[in-house]
Amino acid sequence: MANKPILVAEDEFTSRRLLEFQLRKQGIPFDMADSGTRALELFHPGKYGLALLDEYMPGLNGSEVAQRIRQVDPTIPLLAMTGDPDAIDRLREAGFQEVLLKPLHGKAHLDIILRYLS
Amino acid sequence: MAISHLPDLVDRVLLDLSQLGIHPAVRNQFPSSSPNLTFPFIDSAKKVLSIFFVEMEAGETGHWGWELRWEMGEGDMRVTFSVPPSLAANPALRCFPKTHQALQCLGGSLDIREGVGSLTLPMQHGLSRPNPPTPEESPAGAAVSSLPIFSSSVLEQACPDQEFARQLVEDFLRQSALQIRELEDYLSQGSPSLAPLIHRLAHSIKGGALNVGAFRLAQAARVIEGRAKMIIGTDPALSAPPDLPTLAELLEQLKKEHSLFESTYREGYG
Repeated sequence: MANKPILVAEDEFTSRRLLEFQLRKQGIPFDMADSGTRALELFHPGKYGLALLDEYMPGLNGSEVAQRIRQVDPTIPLLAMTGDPDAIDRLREAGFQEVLLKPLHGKAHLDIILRYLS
Repeated sequence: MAISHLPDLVDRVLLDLSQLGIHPAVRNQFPSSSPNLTFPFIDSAKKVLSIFFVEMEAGETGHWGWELRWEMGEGDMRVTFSVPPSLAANPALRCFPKTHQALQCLGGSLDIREGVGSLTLPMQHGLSRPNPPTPEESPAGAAVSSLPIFSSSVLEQACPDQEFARQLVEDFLRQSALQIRELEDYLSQGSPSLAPLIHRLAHSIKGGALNVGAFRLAQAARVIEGRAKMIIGTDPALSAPPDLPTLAELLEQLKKEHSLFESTYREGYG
C-alpha cells in the first residue's frame, strides 16, 4: 500500500492547491478530484491506498462518496475533511476512520495519511 | 457573552477562534479572583490573545498541551507557560512572531527562556468606561474585530515556500472577488430559494480565507454562511424573504474585510 497513490476529493480551489502542494512536498502520490462525482469516476478497487474526502461538496458530499466506495471496496481507509467540529461523530459513524479538521495547517494530517499508507 | 473578568475574556477569544475551526490545545489556570476589566484593555487583550492562540495552534508545536497560568497584577496581565523541548534559540520570534510584534506595539512582552514562556500585557490605566455593546448586539462588524486581519505565520506554516504562498494568496484574492460578485448577484435577485447557493459560496470563501490566514474575512464569511443556513431552514411558503436585508449588510461587511485583507497583505508582502 505504501506505493499506491491516494484519492483526494476537494471542491474548494485554495484547499485543493494547498493539499496538492503539501502532498507533493511529502512525496505522497495522489489523484485530485474537484467533486464527489469526479472522485467516483477516478475510483477503482485496489487503485488507491486511501481516500481523503471533503465532507461538504456540491452534488455528492464526502459521506455519500464514502458509502459508494465502501460498497465496492470494504477495506480502503476512508478519511474525511471538515471545517465543522460538530460533524466529527457523525462522520465516524458514517464509516470514516479519521476526521481531519480544516484548516489543514501543520503536518499532523500528513502524518495521519502516511500512517495509513505504511 | 459580556466580558468583565479575565476568564470571560479568554473564553471569548477561544470561542471566536473555535467558530473558525481553530482549537488551540490549552488548559487555563485562572487566579481565584481578578479585577474588573476595562474596555481599552479588553480590546488590546483580545487582539493579542487571538494572534497568540492562532500562532500557538498553527505552529510546529501545535500539539503540545499548553498549560497557561494567568495572573492579574496591579499593572498588567501575565500568562506563564512551559514550552516544548523542541523550541530552541529565538523561540519567541520563531513560533510567535506576530504575537511578539503586537505586544511590542502595546508595551507588552513575550519572553521564553529555560523552558518557560511569559507573556505580559500592561493594563491601560485611566478612566474606565462602560463596556461597548457585545458583538451579539452590534452589527456583524464588531464580532470579527478581535481576530487578526492576516496571520502571515499561519500562511507560512501552511506553505513554507514563499513563492507558492504568494501565488496561493493571489489566486484566493481573485477567486474570492469573483465569488463575492456572485453573492451580490444572488442577493440582488432577492429569492430565498438561492440561500443554498449563498451558503455554498460563503462556505467556500470561508475555507479559502482560513487557508491563507485571513481570519477576519473568514469570520465574516462564516456569519453569512450561518445566516443563509437559517434561511434554508425557513418555511419556503413565506412570502417575504425573512433575512435578505440583513444578508446585504453582512455582504458589505464581507467586502470590507476582503479589501482590508488585500491591503494588509499587499502592504506587508507586495
